[in-house]
Amino acid sequence: MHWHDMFNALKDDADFFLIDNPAKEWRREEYLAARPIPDNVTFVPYYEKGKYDFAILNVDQQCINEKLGKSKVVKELNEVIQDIPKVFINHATPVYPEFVCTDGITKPDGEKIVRKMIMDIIGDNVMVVNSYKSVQEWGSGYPIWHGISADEWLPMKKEPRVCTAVSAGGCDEYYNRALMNRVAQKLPEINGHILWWAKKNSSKLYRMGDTYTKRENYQKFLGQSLVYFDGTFRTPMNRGRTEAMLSGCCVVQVEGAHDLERFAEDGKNMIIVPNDVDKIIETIDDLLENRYEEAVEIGKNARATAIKYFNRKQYRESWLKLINEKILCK
Amino acid sequence: MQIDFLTFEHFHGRPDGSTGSSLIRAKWLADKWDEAEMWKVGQKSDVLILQKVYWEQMIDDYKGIKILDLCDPDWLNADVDIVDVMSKVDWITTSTEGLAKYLEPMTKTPITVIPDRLNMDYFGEPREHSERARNVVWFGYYHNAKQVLNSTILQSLKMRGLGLTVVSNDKFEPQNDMGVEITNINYTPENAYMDIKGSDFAINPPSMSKGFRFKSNNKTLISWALGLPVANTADEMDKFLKPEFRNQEIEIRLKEIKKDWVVEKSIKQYKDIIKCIQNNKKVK
Repeated sequence: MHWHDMFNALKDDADFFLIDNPAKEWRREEYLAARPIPDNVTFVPYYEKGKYDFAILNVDQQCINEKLGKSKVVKELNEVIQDIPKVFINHATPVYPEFVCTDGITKPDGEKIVRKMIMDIIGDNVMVVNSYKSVQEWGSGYPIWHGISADEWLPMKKEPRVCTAVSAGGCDEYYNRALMNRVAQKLPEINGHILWWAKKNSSKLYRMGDTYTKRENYQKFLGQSLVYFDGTFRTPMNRGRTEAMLSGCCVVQVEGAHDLERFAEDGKNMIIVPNDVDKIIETIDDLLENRYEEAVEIGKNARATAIKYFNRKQYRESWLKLINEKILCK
Repeated sequence: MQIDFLTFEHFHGRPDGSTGSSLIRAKWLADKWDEAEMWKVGQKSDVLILQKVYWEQMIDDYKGIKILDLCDPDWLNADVDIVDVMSKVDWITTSTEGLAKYLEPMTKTPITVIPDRLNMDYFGEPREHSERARNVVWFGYYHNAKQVLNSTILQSLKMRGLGLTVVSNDKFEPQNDMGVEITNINYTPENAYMDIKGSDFAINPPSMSKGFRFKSNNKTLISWALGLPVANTADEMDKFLKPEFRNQEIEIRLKEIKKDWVVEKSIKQYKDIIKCIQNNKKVK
């Protein structure tokens, strides 16, 4: 999820106070650089008892790694805030073999370890997850799908190119990066098409800006892209994919991704492919070479689907229901 | 009153105990000071001591007393407007006179020198000496080792039949070791003091680098507290070959530490500073 969506979706319902922290990825400047901050958001240097109704903490599987700044943020805020209900947004799955699978620990056992460590942090607080499949992955949680403004992600006349915004570094297994890398490597071998990968090789295409955080440039870039590729299937409800759907891209998605059965129809609003490099590059290349109109049509359907399922209204209502029924009644 | 130390180590996400200045100038004091704690994200306090942290958003928004503690001029090469930052805090503390003198013309904010001092709870029994010295130790950051452990020093050790132990964050491997047996030990917060204590005395040669004028004497104090004399001259090196002189030196130095170099004195200095700031704020 992106905090920006939460602030805006609940702008008539809540004021948000963001506690400053030094974790690189969660510093104030990161928020400010990513999106305009709405009026209902105030940065504060510390927590003050009696001022707030409940607290929201962000957590992912990397929070078990004490070497990372964000693990300290979660641990310390969890200790400091004791007088009000806390809700944890757990926006990941227990896939972190790079950290836990040492000394012969298998991947399934590694996931059990991560699950236990994260659930120990969360304790009996309310936990929100990003998908229904995540509830299975963690063994509990309240699924809330993200809600993105359709006005911010508009389809444009499509250029015959494929792009992705899947994270370009860290947590390789979680992001199925070996496959992503192989696709990036092999796709050009067929007809010269390149996988434009945000934060990796595509910033030069944004022209007016220099990074992915230049949102307007990225919005335009995505709006003009015919195909969007997502090779992940253990990440819950990638936001980048929904932005691509809203932008009218034809999404090529590896099968098994969270909750696909609830909103995706292969060949109608998305193209679902096996976790197989050759089949994926063949499909993407075929779309770019021979199926332009079909891809545009799938992109149109994708936008309609995203508007139906991933809108701010459903997101706001889900949160208000949770707040009233599970958080404030505690 | 609650006093929080926000350290360089925490701000930069480094592992606990890995940053010498944060340990010496914050953790050691907090452990001995009832009202003080190490800062946590979101924790409210009355006084914030920013140990080499130039977090302008926090400095701007924090409503309590703000003290900026400086122990090296990292801002000379970093993206920090130190004059501006100094103007936004209530008081500045520095580890050395040199640093204070350098900064004084640039700010109206009061500056007090609070030297590096020791929390003796972190040191066990000092080493006792009974044999001729065989090995000396140098400890610190690797980039400093390369500067100060030069051929003259190595030659001097060789002449006296002394080996060299380097406890650092990387291996010291000079092109020419002058025939000195060099043992490298990786610096770990858990074991460093035990590793240092394995030698007979310490050497702490000065660096010619520009930043050295601001260096504190903390390595000398730590060596003494561990029971190791520090040889600064050839004569001292000769003298400390003999165990009786090493024991004699340590007896004197431990008394000196107890009198001048324990963190309780630094805490007293901070308490005086805080009182002064409070009084000034009341007058205003």
